[in-house]
Amino acid sequence: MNSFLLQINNLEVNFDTRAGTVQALRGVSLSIAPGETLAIVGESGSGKSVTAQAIMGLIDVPGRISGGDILWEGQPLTAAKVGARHILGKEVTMVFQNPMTSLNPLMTVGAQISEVIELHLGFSRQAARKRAVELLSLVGISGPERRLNQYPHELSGGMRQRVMIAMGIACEPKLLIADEPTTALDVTIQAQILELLAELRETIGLAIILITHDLGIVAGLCDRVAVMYAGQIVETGSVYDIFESPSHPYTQGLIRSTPQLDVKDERLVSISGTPPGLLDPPSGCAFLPRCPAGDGGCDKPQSLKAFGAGAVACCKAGIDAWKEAV
Amino acid sequence: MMQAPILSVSGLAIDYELSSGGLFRKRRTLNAVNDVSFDLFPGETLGLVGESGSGKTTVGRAVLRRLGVAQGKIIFDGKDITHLRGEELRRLRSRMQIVLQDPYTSLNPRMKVRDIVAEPLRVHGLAEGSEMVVAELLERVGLSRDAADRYPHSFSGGQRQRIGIARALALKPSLIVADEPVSALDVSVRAQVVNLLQDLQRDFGLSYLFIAHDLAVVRHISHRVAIMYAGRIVEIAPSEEIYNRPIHPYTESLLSAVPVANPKIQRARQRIIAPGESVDIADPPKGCRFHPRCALATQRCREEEPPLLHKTPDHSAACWNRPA
Ligand SMILES: Nc1ncnc2c1ncn2[C@@H]1O[C@H](COP(=O)(O)OP(=O)(O)OP(=O)(O)O)[C@@H](O)[C@H]1O
Ligand SMILES: Nc1ncnc2c1ncn2[C@@H]1O[C@H](COP(=O)(O)OP(=O)(O)OP(=O)(O)O)[C@@H](O)[C@H]1O
Ligand code: SF4
Ligand SMILES: [Mg+2]
Ligand SMILES: [Mg+2]
Repeated sequence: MNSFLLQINNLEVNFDTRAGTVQALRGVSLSIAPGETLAIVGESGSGKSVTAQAIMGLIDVPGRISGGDILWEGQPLTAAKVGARHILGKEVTMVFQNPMTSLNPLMTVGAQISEVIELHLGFSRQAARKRAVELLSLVGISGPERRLNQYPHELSGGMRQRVMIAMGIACEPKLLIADEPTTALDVTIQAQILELLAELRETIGLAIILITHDLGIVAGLCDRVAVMYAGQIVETGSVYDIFESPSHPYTQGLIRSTPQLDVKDERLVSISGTPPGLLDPPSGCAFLPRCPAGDGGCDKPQSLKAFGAGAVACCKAGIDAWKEAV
Repeated sequence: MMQAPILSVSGLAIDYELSSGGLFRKRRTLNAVNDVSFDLFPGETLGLVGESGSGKTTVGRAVLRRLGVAQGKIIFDGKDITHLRGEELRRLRSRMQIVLQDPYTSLNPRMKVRDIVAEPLRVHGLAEGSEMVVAELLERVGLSRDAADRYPHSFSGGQRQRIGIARALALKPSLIVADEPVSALDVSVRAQVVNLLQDLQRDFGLSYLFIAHDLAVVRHISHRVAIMYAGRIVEIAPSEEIYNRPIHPYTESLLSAVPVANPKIQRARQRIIAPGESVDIADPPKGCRFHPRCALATQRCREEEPPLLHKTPDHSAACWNRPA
């Protein structure tokens, strides 16, 4: 029996660089059910985008998937397989973190959206254009007819991001992977986009993997949260548990660092130090050098273990790590 | 503040040429920004926030003289720079720098960090002794000296943003336009970079034009905040004023739409989300540009555009129905 849409087991991704092998993903496992919204949060450089790229079959030289597997509705999903073509891009779509590098600068916005619709839904050119106009107004872009004839560089950052979202939902996928979909949007437009996603979840049972740095969005939209650090998932749990009682010291630090609108402190709280290099990551807990609760015992490998209703990779799971910190 | 402003923008208007499809390929221009005025004082941070597509990046680029100015004036350090050209413009550029949002594409992947940071020095003929300067800059932004010999891809987002800041500091500018400098960073790294920007401001007396969507960060770093909507500044005031006593209905809806990092509170919240789509600035509504989304709109709002007026000595807003 398998009720998951997508399952990732022990995924490892390496990048071969001149300086050595970057171990970007070091055994990542996660799963998502139909209609579920999973947030992936974590440190810059922790592997969130690489995880998404791996699912989409987009890891390219110098990168390679060096271990683990990805299952779509129980079947292995490899980009090379014929069936995968149909799944990736239609049933699973992705909104990329950087719209400027993922939109074609030489094609008008209209041509790019229509292309997706023609390819995957077999619409005529004219019908595809009509659908493109609908999609642009769905994501709150004004003057959609005029926008179809514009090139990406003629749009503001936030408009480009919304064009990406329109393309992502064009074929009513089963799973949408959205990598920082609203960072370039003002909060009122952001709220509209999030409402649109929530609506699609209701109407077509869309499952969403949302990669974001904005914990406010996670709090409002997501069911479950996976927290990444240095190429590994260090904690997963329900959105309520993660915010109310984060158990990994890094998760606790992250939540502590979130600035609040109604509080003005002299200095923003951060987690001092930097994550380890992934060329030669430590075999023990990767957070140890920055962890206020760490000690000699954390030197051994930490794997994700059930803790409360979620799972945590920390031998001191649940300790109040930042109690003494200022 | 009684000193003279380092930057003074008045009545700024910027137009873009549009590529037009369709049968009649007539040239059209788009008026992206109109009648934008503000001062920025030495050592001050002006936050620039607002609707996506409202013209924030356009204003930032115009100030740096990377765009032609259709109307208005830009005074930098007492000098009218609106139409500077050639050598003079090149010299001016060394005093104003930009930090961009994307730490991934804004650094040349084929250059070592040493050369990226030293590039502005070389361009301005200051390559002599740059080795030392680069080492100091890297240290100042919290990177180790050996970072100089590595390529950008081996750094995380936050570290790349620090490299971008080090490069921006190389020529000891007086003004930095930071266009969404922390949007791509996780909250902890974001805090580190914001703290760094504040330290640098204190140490070097830098002025920042700080463009961002994260209202909590803007509140934290800005002395004053300007809110833009559809090519206009609709409200400008000291940061605490804007956050505690917003005047313009758009500012109110912005503040109320900021999501709270608490699932129970966030899901229960009533937000004043301004409904409707963003303005098409190629075909803006008559009167107040916010009126189609505004709960307070009256007949006058649909006919006449409200001017930006002082509601209190240091708090200006453009709204007919909000006297003060
Ligand atoms: N083409 C590449 N060559 C070498 N290293 C790479 C490459 N692509 C990614 N990496 C490395 O893989 C790691 C994970 O990167 P990834 O982009 O997934 O981070 P992220 O979690 O999405 O970060 P952010 O929040 O900053 O977007 C980083 O250390 C990065 O330097
Ligand atoms: N090169 C260009 N050609 C034509 N129009 C442009 C060009 N650059 C920007 N625009 C238009 O000018 C307006 C203002 O854009 P700008 O990038 O300044 O907005 P912004 O406030 O920075 O938005 P965001 O928050 O989304 O980055 C938008 O309507 C945009 O489509
Ligand atoms: S002028 Fe009228 S429409 Fe514009 S913000 Fe004020 S009340 Fe609303
Ligand atoms: Mg990423
Ligand atoms: Mg912009």
